Amino acid sequence: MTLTDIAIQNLRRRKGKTFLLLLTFLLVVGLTVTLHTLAKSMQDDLQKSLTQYGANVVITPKSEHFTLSYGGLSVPGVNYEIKRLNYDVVTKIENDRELSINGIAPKIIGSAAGVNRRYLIIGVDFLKELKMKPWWHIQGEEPGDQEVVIGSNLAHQEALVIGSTLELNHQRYSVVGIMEETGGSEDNGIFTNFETSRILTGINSWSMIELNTTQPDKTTARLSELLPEAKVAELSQLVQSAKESVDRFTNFSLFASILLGVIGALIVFVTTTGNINNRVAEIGIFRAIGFRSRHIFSLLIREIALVSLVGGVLGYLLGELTPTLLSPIVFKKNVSFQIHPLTAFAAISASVLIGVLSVLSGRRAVELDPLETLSYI
Amino acid sequence: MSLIKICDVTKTYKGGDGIVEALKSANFEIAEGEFLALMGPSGSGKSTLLSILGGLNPPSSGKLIIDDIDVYSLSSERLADFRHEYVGFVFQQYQLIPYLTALENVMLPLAITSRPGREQREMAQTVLAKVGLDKKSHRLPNQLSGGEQNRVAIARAIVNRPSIIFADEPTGSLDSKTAEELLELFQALNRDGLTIIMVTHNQENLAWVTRTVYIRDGVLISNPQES
Repeated sequence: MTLTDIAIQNLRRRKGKTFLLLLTFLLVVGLTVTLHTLAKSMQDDLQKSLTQYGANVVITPKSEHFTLSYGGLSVPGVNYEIKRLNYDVVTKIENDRELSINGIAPKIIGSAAGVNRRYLIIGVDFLKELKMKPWWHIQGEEPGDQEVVIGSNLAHQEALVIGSTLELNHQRYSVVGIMEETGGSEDNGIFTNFETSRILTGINSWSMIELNTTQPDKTTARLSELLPEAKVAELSQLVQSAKESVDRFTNFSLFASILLGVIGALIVFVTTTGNINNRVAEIGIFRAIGFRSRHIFSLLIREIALVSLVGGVLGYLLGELTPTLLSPIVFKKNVSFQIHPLTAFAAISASVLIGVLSVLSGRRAVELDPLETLSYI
Repeated sequence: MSLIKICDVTKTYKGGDGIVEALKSANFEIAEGEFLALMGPSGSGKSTLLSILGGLNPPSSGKLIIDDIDVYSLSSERLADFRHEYVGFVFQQYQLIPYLTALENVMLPLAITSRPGREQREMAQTVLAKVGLDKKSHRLPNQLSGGEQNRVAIARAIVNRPSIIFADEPTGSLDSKTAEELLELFQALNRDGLTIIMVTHNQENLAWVTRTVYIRDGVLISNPQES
């Protein structure tokens, strides 16, 4: 018989106490890993969104502008020294080896005169735009020459439907599609291909180029060097609110994990101290038989190490499994069950460490004089 | 030949009424192979003396020499080794470990030796057979009667082949028949060469021992008439 055998028999035959201690480890580790897994899953989703959808870098021509104010009235948008984004800019960006670009969508933006008002004209490559903006849904078809797609708000205001015609710069253009409401500036725009937009606006350069990249900060820095005539800005508004929510949840989960860890450690410390103090008489017998203090410490550490190890492993598995089972119901999202070796190692190590350290709280009982411990008999 | 020498041993405690002298300048020797009874009324100091003799309770002054070792000059951990090697205890309430079977309880002193598991098991089974409990070796203490638990405690005390057994009121909670069986067992062990020191206040037990030392108010009296 070894000290480990004695430890195992104690755990095996004192099922109630062992179960409660195991449950403590299991719940603390399980909840902490659950929060961590959820936070990580949300961060991964966000990263995926950043990578897959939407522009996160925008290039516009560099310009100096100021707003005139006269008699208390503002006259905005007075520009001078406008630099141009020539068509070869796109090729330059596409050919630069230092850039990692997922999507590139240049635009020609201007205005054209209607019968009673001016309209916002947006010339785009629909294939590229739809890849970058999956929230754009067009009823009808993409426009060819002399054809337009109009925003939902404009369609409503002007009572336009697919098949209607719209007069722009004294020319008639067929409405071949209506973009579903996006809640953005698109709702009031008229979308055309590049050729039509050039004719309508008279602009012969890019008004704006939207980019999607996994490294927006690096891309912005590189493009600023590459295109001195352009103003390059990182655009994160699209996902900013989501990012803030995820950051808040990550911070909350970190705080909750620390709190749970502290509470769990305290419970383990109190339970272990109580257990050791209840075993003072038993410790006295061990001491009378000739066990050294280190034998008794070793015995207690083996007991708690076994419980905390099993609790840590089960807790970790529970922590990875819970988001997989509950996320589809609670968060309406799927989280796949995955083993993360580093997280597993950290969770199980922390569990065992807390357990082993808790034995130190019972040090006084172990180091009591044998006669003193036997007086508890 | 003297195995144990008690030289001018005194033990004092701090009590509610000041210093209490539990043992006063005790001097005596115990020879190897003796079956000695420490007899005295409750509170006379006999359990204090037994704990001092067993290496569990350092005296306030004086020396305890066992097998030429000045016991209380040893460090705490060396003292534990000394108890493991020289001493076996039988407590009044048996004090078995509740979550270990009879066999495992007996194997307990061997768990901190380098003996392999099989040898430990064989040694434990041999002593359990000696105390007549080889058929109940896999029972937990709460599945054994008081007398059987006492036998397991004795088996545990002798499994490591110590030189001396200290027994504190071993028959105190037993009926007369079981007590007699226990004393017979002690006598048989004593015949095998084991030195046994037993605390008792039961006059009937004295018939089984080779010598009796009386103690009253912390003073040792070899012959009660001396008091």
